[in-house]
Amino acid sequence: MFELSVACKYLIPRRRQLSVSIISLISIFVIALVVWLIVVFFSVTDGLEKNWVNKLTALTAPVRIIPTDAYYNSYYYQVDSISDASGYAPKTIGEKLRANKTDPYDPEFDQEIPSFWQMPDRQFDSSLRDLVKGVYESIKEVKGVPGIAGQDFELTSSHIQLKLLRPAPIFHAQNIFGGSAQSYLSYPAFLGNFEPDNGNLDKILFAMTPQDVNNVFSLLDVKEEPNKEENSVSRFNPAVYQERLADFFQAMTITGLKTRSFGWNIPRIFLPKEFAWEGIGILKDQTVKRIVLPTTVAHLAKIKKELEDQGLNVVIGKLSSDESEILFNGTKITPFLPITLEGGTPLNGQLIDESIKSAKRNSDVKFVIDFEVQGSILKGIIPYKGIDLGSFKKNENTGMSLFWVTQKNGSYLLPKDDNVGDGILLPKSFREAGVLVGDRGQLSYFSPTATTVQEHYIPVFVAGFYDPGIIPIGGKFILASQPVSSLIRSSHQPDDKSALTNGINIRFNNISQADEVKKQLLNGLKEKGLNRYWNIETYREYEFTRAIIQELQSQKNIFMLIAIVIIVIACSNIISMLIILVNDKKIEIGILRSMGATTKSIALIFGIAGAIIGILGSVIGIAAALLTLHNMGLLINLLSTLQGHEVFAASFYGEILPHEMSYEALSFVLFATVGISLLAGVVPAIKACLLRPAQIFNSSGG
Amino acid sequence: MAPLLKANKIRKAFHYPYHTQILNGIDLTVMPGESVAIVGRSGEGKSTLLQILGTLEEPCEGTVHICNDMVSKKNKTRIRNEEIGFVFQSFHLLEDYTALENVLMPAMIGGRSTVKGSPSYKRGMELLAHVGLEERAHFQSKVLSGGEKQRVALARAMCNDPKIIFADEPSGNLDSQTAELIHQLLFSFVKEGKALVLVTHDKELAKRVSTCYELTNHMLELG
Repeated sequence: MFELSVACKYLIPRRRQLSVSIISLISIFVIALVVWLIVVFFSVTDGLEKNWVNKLTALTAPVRIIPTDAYYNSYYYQVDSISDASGYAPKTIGEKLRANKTDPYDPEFDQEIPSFWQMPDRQFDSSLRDLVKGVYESIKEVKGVPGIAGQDFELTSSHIQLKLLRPAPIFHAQNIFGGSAQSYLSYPAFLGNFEPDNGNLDKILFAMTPQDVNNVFSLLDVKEEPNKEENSVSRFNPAVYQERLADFFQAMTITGLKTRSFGWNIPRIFLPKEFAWEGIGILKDQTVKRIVLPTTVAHLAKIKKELEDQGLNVVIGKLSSDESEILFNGTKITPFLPITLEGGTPLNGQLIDESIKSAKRNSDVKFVIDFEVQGSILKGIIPYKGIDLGSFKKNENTGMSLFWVTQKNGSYLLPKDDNVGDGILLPKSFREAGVLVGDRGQLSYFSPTATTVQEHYIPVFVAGFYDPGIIPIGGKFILASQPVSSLIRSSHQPDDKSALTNGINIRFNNISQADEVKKQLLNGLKEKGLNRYWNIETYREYEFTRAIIQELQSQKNIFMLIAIVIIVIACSNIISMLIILVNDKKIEIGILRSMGATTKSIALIFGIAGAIIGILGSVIGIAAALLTLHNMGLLINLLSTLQGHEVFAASFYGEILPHEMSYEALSFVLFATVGISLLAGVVPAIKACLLRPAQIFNSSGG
Repeated sequence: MAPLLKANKIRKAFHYPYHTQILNGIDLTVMPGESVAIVGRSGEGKSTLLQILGTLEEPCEGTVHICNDMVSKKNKTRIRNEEIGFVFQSFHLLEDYTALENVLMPAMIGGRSTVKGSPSYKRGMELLAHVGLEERAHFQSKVLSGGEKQRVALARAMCNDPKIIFADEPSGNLDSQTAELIHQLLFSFVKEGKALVLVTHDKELAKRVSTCYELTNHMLELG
């Protein structure tokens, strides 16, 4: 194909066609810049959208079926409130599904049906049409959607109070282990039911951190007593504690310990016979009250500064041994003076199995540890006191844990601890407020009695955290077991029928089939005559996400429009370049025409030249975009440093900005740039075609 | 024997910037093995006539037949590629290409393969050998001398084995020794039973052709 060969020759930069070469290079650079910008922007926004939608559909579902007013006004829904068989209380969708009788009304025992009720919706055989079971049948009938399943959900409101029991910091010789400090959190919250079969939970559940594990363990022997005086801690009796301890170590293997942030007092028995270390003495009234020991001399200055920042009077000195005595800066120190290893130091540690058999409280559990201080290895046995569990390994296949959410055979298990309460899952905002797995508290709610309103409490503990994504109520949305959410919901007024309170979540493997599922369900419900009782929404139509998803789509559309305008401007350079090229190559066009080149071939040469610039610019831009996406973290750090604060708020965009190439963006830029570049070649190509060979030769002097 | 070139009542006038009659009812027939020279004063329209005969320009009136085909918009690119070859006074080589690539360009335009070993490639090398430039085949055309460039242009004109070569002052920019070499090559082409139509001011060259016409008063007269 000689047209390609000629076009390539024309595009090779040459000194004698300097202007064309410069404009070509500028065109390629500008196109590359635009492509880079578009690919990076769309990849990030696509990634964000996917993350948000994943989290959204993980917590709710890609499609939801919500009862309409016709459902709540139907005989089918209202009949439970006058039926003895239903306990005179309306049923949730889940209860309706599990109910044996579609029509529980017994005219012999139950009150007369109010005259203003709607007529029962009966089938041909005069039996009452089951509105809930009919929906589940329609779900089963959906075809070509792998993994489809329906699960009813309930939403209610409650009030959560959490007690945070944390170790208190130590600075003074008198406070050897620091003790503990209590604080409380109290929030009004929404409560939803935990769906064990929601296979998408792994997308939003946070993994346990060492702090979580440590908190669970530190509270293992602590018993909650509602009327207990503040700042005093009750303990479980030894038998209960033994069971809890066994459960904990069955689920978890501790692989290391760690000194707390404010350090750990080294037992004197750990000290070798001879040593000479650099240390920092904390002075009070010119007397050394504590010696802080860095693990390496390199940490000395940093620790000194930290202590000084706390307002302490400190001095650097040498801690050494002299036969049976310990000296600091040559002065003998008392046997009771604490020697504190710097905070956050990991220690190799292994549980002594024997110690848990007879343990009556946490401080009876012992570990063999070893650690290094300025080149010396220190070894010994310590109890779990004044130190944290530093690293851990979850033991697989141990069944349900008593303390945190576990997964087994594709289902998630929310624990219930008979001695503590019901496990709940909290949104990540609680975690950011300092709550840890294991923290305990209560859910409170009010229920009306014959004469007054009574407050009730359900004891709960934190069994895990999840990321609610961008749902507006997400920061306050607590997941509890079905019995807990049903209990609280049933205590609310029965006429609370807002769309959020009860419905069916429809889950399936591929959320891109949401519209297809909705269509099939609508048809199924229509065939069964149930369509007026139910609304079907896809995740794009949910009241609480519609605005955000539409906003995101609008932003993408606006940017796409801007992107096209920028590409057109970038490609307009190509037109200028090609017109100059046509003028430069007039004679060659005449020569080619005299040898039989058609006008089509001449046009193609300039079209190809334009397209090559577009493709080259796109390839460079895509390569730069790949490089940028690959090093997104570095780029964001750089921008954050330059800006002086975080570029992207983690609470909104996530811990890591999405950095996977969007193929949608890729195909868009390739199509747009190559297409527009080809179009840019049209004008010069027409100009080239209109040149007559004889005219060219005459004007060039033959 | 059918003529290779037949022109009937060719008229050509330019209307811009003012009306100028160039050719006024020119008839010309060129038979195989015939060489034709068109001489005349500068500005008489010799080159315009050559361009009309070589399909590069359209006449206002009249027809041109090449190898029995009347030249039309539909067939003129094919005729240019297959039936005729051009040699210009200013050589008009493609400067970004080598000598061989220049020679092979008509074959490439005709859609023939020009990869090494292909028939077109072999012919290109033979033609370069014929004009004495085999060893310069892979030189960039811009580094060749004027005489070498014209020999490459001549080889290029013969690439697709045309029936007629149109030459516009083929030796106008060359010294007499090189010009003679080019003339010999052109006449060797005629000896193969093909035709040569050239425009020249060179009286010696005009004497060597089988038919010489003079363009005067917009008409051709035997010279």
